[in-house]
This record gives sequence, structure tokens and C-alpha cells, in this order.
Amino acid sequence: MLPRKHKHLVKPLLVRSGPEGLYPEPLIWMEGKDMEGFNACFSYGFVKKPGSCHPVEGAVMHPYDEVLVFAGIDLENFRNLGGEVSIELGEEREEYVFTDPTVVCIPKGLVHGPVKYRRVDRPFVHYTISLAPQYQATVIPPAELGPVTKGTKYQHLVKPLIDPERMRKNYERGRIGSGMGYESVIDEYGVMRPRGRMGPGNADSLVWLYGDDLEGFELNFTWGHYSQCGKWHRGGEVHSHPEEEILIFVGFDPDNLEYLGAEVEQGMGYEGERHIVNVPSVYICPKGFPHLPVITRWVDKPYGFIVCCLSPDHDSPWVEVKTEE
Amino acid sequence: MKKKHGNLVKKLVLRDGPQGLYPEPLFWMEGKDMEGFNAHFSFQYVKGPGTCHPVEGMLVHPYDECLVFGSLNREDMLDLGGEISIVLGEEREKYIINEPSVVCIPKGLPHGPIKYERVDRPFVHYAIGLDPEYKASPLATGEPVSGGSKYRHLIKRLVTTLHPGADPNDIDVGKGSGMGYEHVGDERGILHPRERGIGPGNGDSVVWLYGSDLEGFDLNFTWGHYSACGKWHRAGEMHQHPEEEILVFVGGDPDRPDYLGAEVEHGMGYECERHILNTPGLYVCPKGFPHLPMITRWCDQPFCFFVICLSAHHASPWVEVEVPEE
Repeated sequence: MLPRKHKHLVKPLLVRSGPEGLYPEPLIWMEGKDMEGFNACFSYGFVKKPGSCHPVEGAVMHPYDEVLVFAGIDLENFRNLGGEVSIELGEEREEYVFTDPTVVCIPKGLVHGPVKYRRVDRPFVHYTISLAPQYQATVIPPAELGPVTKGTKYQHLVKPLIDPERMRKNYERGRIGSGMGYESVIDEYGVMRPRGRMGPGNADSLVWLYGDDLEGFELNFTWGHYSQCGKWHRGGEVHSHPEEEILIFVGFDPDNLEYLGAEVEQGMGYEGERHIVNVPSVYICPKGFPHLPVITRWVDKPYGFIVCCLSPDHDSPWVEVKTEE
Repeated sequence: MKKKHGNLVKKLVLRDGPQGLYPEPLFWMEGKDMEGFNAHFSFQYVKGPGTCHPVEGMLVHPYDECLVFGSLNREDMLDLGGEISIVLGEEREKYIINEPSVVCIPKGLPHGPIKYERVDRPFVHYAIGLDPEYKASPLATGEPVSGGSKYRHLIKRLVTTLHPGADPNDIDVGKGSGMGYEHVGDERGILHPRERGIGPGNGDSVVWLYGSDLEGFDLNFTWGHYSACGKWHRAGEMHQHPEEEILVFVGGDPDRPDYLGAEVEHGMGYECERHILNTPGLYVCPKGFPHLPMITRWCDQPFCFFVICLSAHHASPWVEVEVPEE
């Protein structure tokens, strides 16, 4: 086989300890230097039992925007988180409690944490996306924190991950959204069901949040459950985005972060060079880089997939290629 | 972007066959249509009673030929769905066929016509002639004679001959496809590579016949029903064969011969250059040409696929490629 031009844009996810004191156990931790200079970092791990994190003790403050995502892996019910979580926000230490899949937007400079897993009925997922290539934090030790309070000052930062009303309003005001037609496959609960209409390998269940859902952050991201083989987007062959993006494949085995349970291929570059992953991995798509099709080749166990695109919107023009001989 | 191997991907052409051979247009592909492939083939759906190959009289070819009658019944691949007669030899022995079959016609053997005596449900007929160009000499004949058995051995059931426990080094019975299909057969000689782990996009039901099943012809071929997405062979990425091969995709709808109902992609050459088919077509694989993976990208309607490989055996060494990413 000939040398491949874009191999450096495909990376297996690294399971390791995060920054000291942030998480109690190893997790997937990827920074910009691990992703060809991508201008964000992310973490991914399973929540299997009660505990604290982000940070384990005290609170933290970052010089960049961040989202903290809590999502279910219940294939039967995408809206089931499977536990109860609390988070403290602001110098006031306002405590917010939630039991549904949720994204917490942390504007730069906002004191936050710890996250507490109060009850875990079934394992679920926690991932973070930080809008800087390198993790940075100011740690506030427990002794410097005041008492936990009840309040509503930061309530608007705690958002349901799945929200039919938000979807409806966005649709009514004509937001472009994914630029790929995902807006046409939303059910009454606000969950996208793209597998049937968009492509057989696409998600069973999916949500997509944009910058205007996320306090205006320079970010749009997804969370999805996937279980079937085939091409993801029958509507086209290759597309690109004006902003950089990563495509993250993660497994659903809470006891093995290094297991994906499926194999996918993706075309990369104008050459349509195919790159294959069958362990948790990320494809890096620099600004304007043509990519797709994503095709699921086999699935032994349903898996998760996350888009992380560094723009409030997701402009996705198709790139002209010859799809038929 | 210009592709290097685009010349090896061909759409099937619906047209008239040689004069007097078939009464209606059918897929007809000769070597000149397939980059010099050293065989030719026809393919058609049989939807009603009729006569063909030839329409009148008998004929003789200067090359070996297989006449295949395959089922479209996805529930039971051994249900042909009709009754056929064929006349063989100068003696004009008439044989009746009512199950999926292949008739081996050694070069020089007078044969024909084929008569579709009864068609309960559509089935398929394809002919593989082991020469790049169709050639035939017509023969005037009298009435066919029933009751003979001289050529009975040339009519074979369209099933896979399985050799459980065979020595894997025995090239005639132990090697088979070279890809593990021998381990996914049922007691009736039908392979189930999709549900038995070869790959999620592979056949629901497949049969594979080799030279030893086909009077020693330099040929192995398949017939299969396909309905699911995904990679066809999980065990490897690319392989090659010492002999030339074509991979033929046809639809499952007898009323829409130009409709495939699915889209597949196939890696071709050391570059793994992907080539896509979503209408009836074929991939030409010259001797030693690396190809695969085959991946079904979407499938709206079950389709059919057959291999024609110009060797009695199907040696399939994997070609080393980098998978997965490091």
C-alpha cells in the first residue's frame, strides 16, 4: 500500500490520568498537542459510582469557555441519564442538581465544581470540551470556599442536553443548523433519528447543540448512539467546514475505555484517502479540509460518537467529487 | 479527481445477444467490454415460458461453458421457481431441471435449446463462456429424445460442495474460497457468510462452485443474495488472485433490470482507490490485482452478486496493508 498523506490526522484516544486533582481515575484526556494543534481539549469517561470530580476537592476556574456534558448510554431510552448529579457554580457556590442528560456551560473565569455524582443507577458518560488547546486552571482549595448556597443566578448555564422546545424555536427562526439535513429527522422529544433517512450507518439517537444554545460559545457539538453498518450520509460524498472540527469515536463499555466495538472508515482529503478506526479514536479535520464519507464497516457493540466543531454554526458545503464511475 | 482504476469498473449493458441466441435483450458482456477479460457472460431474469440458447436448433461452442439457473427466492435459495428442459449431445437427450442448477457444456458439445417449460416465480439465468468472444456453430436438429442418461453428469445442483475435515493443503477439496466460506455452510450446501461471521455486508445465502464441481473447467463462480450493509470480509483488508476475476452486481427485481437497489464501494489497486457502484455493474480484477475491501454502503432492496474467477481454484492471499491506524 502506498504511503498515506493524512495519517497524522487520525489518533487513538489516550487513556490516562487527567490534570492532578481534576478526576479521581484515569479517563480519556486529549489536548491540542495530541491532535495536531486542534484549538480545544476534551475528556471522556464513564460514571459508575457516586463520587466527586472536576475537581475532586475545592473548585476550579479556567481562562477559557468550557462545556461539561453528562449523557446517558441507555440504548433503549436516550433521555435516561441514569443518575443524579450536582454541580456548584460561581463564587456563591450555588448548587444545581439534575437527573436528565445535561450540558453545563462554564464561561471563562467562572468558578465551578466540584461535580458530585449523588446517585448512579446505571453507568453514564461525562465529557468535557474546553475551548483552548491546553488545559489551564486556577484551583481554589476547599478551605477558601464559602458554604454551598441555593440560588438561580447561574441556572441559565445548566441546560438540558435534549430539549424539544429549543429545537422547535431554532427551527422556527430558520437556523441553518447542521447544514446536512439533521433538522428534518427530529422526534417529538427533540431527539434526532438520522439512521433511517440520512444513511443506514448514521445514529439511532442524536442531539446537536450550537453556539446560540451554548451561551454564544464558539462551539457546536453532538452526542449520539450508533449501532448499524453503512454510509452515514447518502446525500453527498465529501464536505468541508470553514472551522476546524474533530470527530470522536468512543465505546460504551464502562469497564474498558479502550474498546470501541465497531470499525469505521472515513475519507480524508481531496484524495478520499480511507482511514480506518476500530478503537476509540479521533479524526482531526482542519479548517476547510475535505472529509467524508463516514462508513461503518462492522459493529459488535453500539458505540458513541461526538462532533466537536469550533464554531457556533456548522456550515457544511459538499465538495464536488465524482461518486459514480 | 481522476482515478487510476476507473477503467476496471463497468456498467452492465442491456442489449441484444448474438442473433438467435436469446429472444429478448439481456446483459451481455464480452471480453472487449471488460478490459480483455478472458471470458464472456450473459445475465437475464426468466419471467415466463420460452426458448433460448438458441431460440431454434442446437449450437456448438469451441470453448467450455456453464449455463446457470439460479433462484431469486430469498427465503429458500434451493427453490428455483420453475421447470426447465435442455437438450444435450448429438443424441439430442432431453433433461428436465426443476432446482437451481448449472449445466456444464464442454467445448464441442452440441446443446440447446433451453426451454422454460414452467415459471412459477422469476429466476435468473446466466451463461459463462470461457473465451473472451462469443463463438458458435449452429446445428440443424430433429426432435429431442427423452430418457437418456449419457450427459446426466453435466447437470449439477447449484450448491456448494463442502468437505468437512478436508486436509487444508489439498488444493482440490481443502482450500475452497481461501477466505473461510467453507466454515459457514449449512447441511444443504448453502453458505451463510453474513450471519455466520464473515462480515455484516456479506451474503445472506451464497453458493460457490469450483473446477472440481464443474467437470474440471478453469472456472470457479458464485451465486448469492445480499441485503445488509457493512464490510464483507472482516478477516482482512485486501487480497488478490493469481487468476483474473470479475465481480458482478445485479438487482433482485426482475421487472427493473437496470436497478441495483444498493450502493457498494470496492478498494482497487495498491492505492486502495475506492470505486462505487449503485447500478448493475462489475469490477474487473486482472491477475494479481489487489482488491477489496467490499463494503455495502446502503441497501434499499436486496440484490444479487456473483464472482467469475478463471481458475479451478480460488487462491486468495491477503495483501499486507496498514490497518488500523497506529
